[in-house]
Amino acid sequence: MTWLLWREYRLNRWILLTGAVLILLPYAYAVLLDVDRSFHFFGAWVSSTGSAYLTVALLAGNAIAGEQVDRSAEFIAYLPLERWRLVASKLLLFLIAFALIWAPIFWGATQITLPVEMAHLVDVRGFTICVLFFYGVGWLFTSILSSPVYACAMTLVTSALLYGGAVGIAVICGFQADLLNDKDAHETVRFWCAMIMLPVAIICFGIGTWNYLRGSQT
Amino acid sequence: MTWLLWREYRLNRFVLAAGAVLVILPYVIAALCLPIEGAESTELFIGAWIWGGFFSVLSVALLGGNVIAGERADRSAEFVAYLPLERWQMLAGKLLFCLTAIAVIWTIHLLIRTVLLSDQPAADIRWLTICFGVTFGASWLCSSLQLSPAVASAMGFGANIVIWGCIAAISMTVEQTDGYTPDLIERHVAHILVRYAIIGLPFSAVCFSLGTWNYLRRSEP
Repeated sequence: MTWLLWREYRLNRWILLTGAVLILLPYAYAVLLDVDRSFHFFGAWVSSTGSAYLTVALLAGNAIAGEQVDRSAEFIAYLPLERWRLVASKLLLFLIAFALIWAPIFWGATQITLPVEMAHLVDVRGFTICVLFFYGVGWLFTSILSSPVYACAMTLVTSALLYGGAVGIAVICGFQADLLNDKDAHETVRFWCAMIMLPVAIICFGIGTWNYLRGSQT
Repeated sequence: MTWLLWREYRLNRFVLAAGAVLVILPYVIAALCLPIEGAESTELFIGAWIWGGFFSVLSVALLGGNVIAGERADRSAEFVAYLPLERWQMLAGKLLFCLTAIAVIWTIHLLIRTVLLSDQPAADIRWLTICFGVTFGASWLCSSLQLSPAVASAMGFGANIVIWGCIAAISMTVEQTDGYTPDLIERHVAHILVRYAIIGLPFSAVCFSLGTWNYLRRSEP
C-alpha cells in the first residue's frame, strides 16, 4: 500500500503544491500585514476556502483520469493488483489531503472575530460538506471522462448548477431572507444544502467507484 | 486550417461548455434574485460580475492548460505528429482557437458592463483583461511543459493569484495609512492595477514566448 500511496502522491504532487500555496497565501498576507481579525481576516479565510474547493476539484478530477494521461494506468493494469487496493490508495491520499486542507481552514475560523450577528458566516461544517460534495462529483466524472481537465470543469459546473438550481427553487417557493444577517435563515439553508449535497456526493462516489471497479477503463 | 480548428474545438469542447455555463450562470442567478423583496439590482449584478470574472479566469486557465497538454492526454498528439503538418500551423490553429474563445468571454463581460454596470467602478474591464493575459500566458507555458492538463491549469491559475496577491500585499504595505477614505481606496486600487499591468503583462508575454518556443522545438509530441 505504501508504494501505491507514493504513486498517488507523485501523480498529484503539483496539484497539492499549488493548492498549498493558494490556501496558505491569504493567511500569510493576513498574518504578515497584521490585518484586523474581523473583516480583513474573514476575507483571507474566504479566499483560502475558495482555493480549497478548487484544489479538491482538481484532486478529484485527476484521481483516475490523471493516471490515464501519464499512461501509468496501462502499467498498473498489468500488475497483480486488486482494483480495490487502487481505490483505497486514492481514497487514503484524499483523506490525508483533506486533513491537511481542513486544518488551516479550521485554524482560520478560530482566529476570526466577526460581529455576533455575522458570526454564523464562518461555517466550517458547511465547508466540510462542500468539500465532500466536490470530491464525490469529481470522482464520478474522473471515472467516466478521459481528461482530468474535463472532470474538473464538469465538477465546477455541476456545483454551480446545483447552487443556481437551489436559488431558483428558493425564489420560486417565495423564500426571502437576508442570509448575511439572518442566522435562522442561514441555518435553514445550511440544513437543506447538507440534505441535498451529502446524498448527491455519496451517490456520485458510489457510481464512480462501481464504474472504476468493474474495469471499463484501463 | 479549418480542420485544425475543428480538432481544437473537439479537444476543448467540454472546457468551452463548462466555461459558458460558469460565465453566464452568475448573471442568471442575479436575474433570478431580482424578484426578492429588497434586492438591489446593482448589488446583485456587481456580485455576479465578480463571480463571472472569477469563473472566466478559471475557464481561461482550463483552456490554456488543456490546449497543448490535452492533446498529449488523449494521444492525438502522436497521431498529428505523423501528419505532413508544420508545427507553426498547429500553433496557429491553437492560438486562433484560444484567442477567439477568450475574445468571446471578454466581449460578454464588456457587453454586461456597458449595458448594466456602466457607472460602477468595481466592474473594471481592465482588471479582467490583465487577469486573462497573465492566466493564459502562465497556463500556456505550463501546458507546453507538463503532461497533465489539470496540473497545467492549476499552475496557470495559481501563478495569476500569486502575482496579483503579492502586488496587492506589497502595495498595501508600502502605502499603509491609518484611515481609509473612498478616495484613498480608489487611489490604492488604481496603483495596484498599474503595478499589476507593469509586472503581469511582461510576465505573460515571457511565459507565452517560452511556451511557444518549447512547443516548436520539442522533438517528441
